[in-house]
Amino acid sequence: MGLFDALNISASGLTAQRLRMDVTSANLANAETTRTPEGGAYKRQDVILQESSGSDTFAGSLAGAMGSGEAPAGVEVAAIVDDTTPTKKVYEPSNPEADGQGYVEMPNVNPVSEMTDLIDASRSYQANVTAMQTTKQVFSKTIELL
Amino acid sequence: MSIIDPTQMTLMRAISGATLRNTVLSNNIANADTPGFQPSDVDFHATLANALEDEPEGVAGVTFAPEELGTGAQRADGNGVDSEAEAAKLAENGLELNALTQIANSRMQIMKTAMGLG
Amino acid sequence: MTLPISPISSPVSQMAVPKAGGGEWSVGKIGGSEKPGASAGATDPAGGFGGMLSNAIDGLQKTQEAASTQATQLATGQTQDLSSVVTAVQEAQLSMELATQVRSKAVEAYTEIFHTQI
Repeated sequence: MGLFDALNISASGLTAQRLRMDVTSANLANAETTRTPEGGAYKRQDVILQESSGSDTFAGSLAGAMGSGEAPAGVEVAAIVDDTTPTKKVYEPSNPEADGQGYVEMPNVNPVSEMTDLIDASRSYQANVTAMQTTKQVFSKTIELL
Repeated sequence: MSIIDPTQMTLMRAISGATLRNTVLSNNIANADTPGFQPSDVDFHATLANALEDEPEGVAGVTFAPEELGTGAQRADGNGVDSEAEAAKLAENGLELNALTQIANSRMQIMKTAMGLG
Repeated sequence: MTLPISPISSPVSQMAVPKAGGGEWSVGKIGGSEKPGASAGATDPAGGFGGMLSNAIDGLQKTQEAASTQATQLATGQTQDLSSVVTAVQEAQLSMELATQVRSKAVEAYTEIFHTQI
């Protein structure tokens, strides 16, 4: 627990939301990708966020040991996982990727839901920026008392 | 006895440490896209705390040095900069610099008042 | 014949002597039938204007030390809360200003009494 915890918590939110935007952009960009290094069509990726535990840091574990409760430490990305929704099979015999029956495996990406995810991440990013600006204003106003 | 007491000297050294930290953090942000770049930081708080523990009068001679953070690569190009975290650190350092200068200034005003110049 | 020069606490103690029973401060009689220093409060070393002044100076010193401690903690990064640092420095500044004002007023009162035509 330090003087500028609030700023660092907002910053962890910014980092997490930017990563969400990165992954969503990758999903959108690969909405029609039929070939990947792992083989098969592109699999949509999802970001799993988790609350970072304050006990990761010395100050956090000290606060926990002294019974003052775990200090909030912001958010972190736990993992980037593949979406297990089945991929779509599209009948397109002219496509060089088509199988014996003329079906092409297409990614399980829905561009509309990716767009809403992108807007969602962008709004969350803005919310964190606003929180950060408010924190800065609070500190500046405190200093102005002098 | 100097007119600058150890507290005032500590504040002045902290201001100088925060100024160096500002430069180092700006450099980190400037290199956010440099392949293989690892960010650095200045822990002037710990340096000052150690100097004060050893000898409060010797705090005037304290120097600060940037240290590379072992964050490892955040991206495929080996760059270790988290630009949002660096921006947050820059903002907090700016606020702290502001607080330190204001408090150093207030303590100077107290001294002037005591001297009858206030 | 020489006029006895009374210490600074004596003329001022006539203006504010503690009441016999309680610790309240009240304006005493000036030019009354009571002789200077006749009241029990003025001769009591623990009470009186001198004692109050000495307590006030001690308090002022403690306030300055508290502000210094808080400022050092800010410089060494051990502060949890900026407002407590700002409040401590603010308190130190105001008490120093109050002390100089009280000193000016006391000296003013002393010179005024010193120049009284007898």
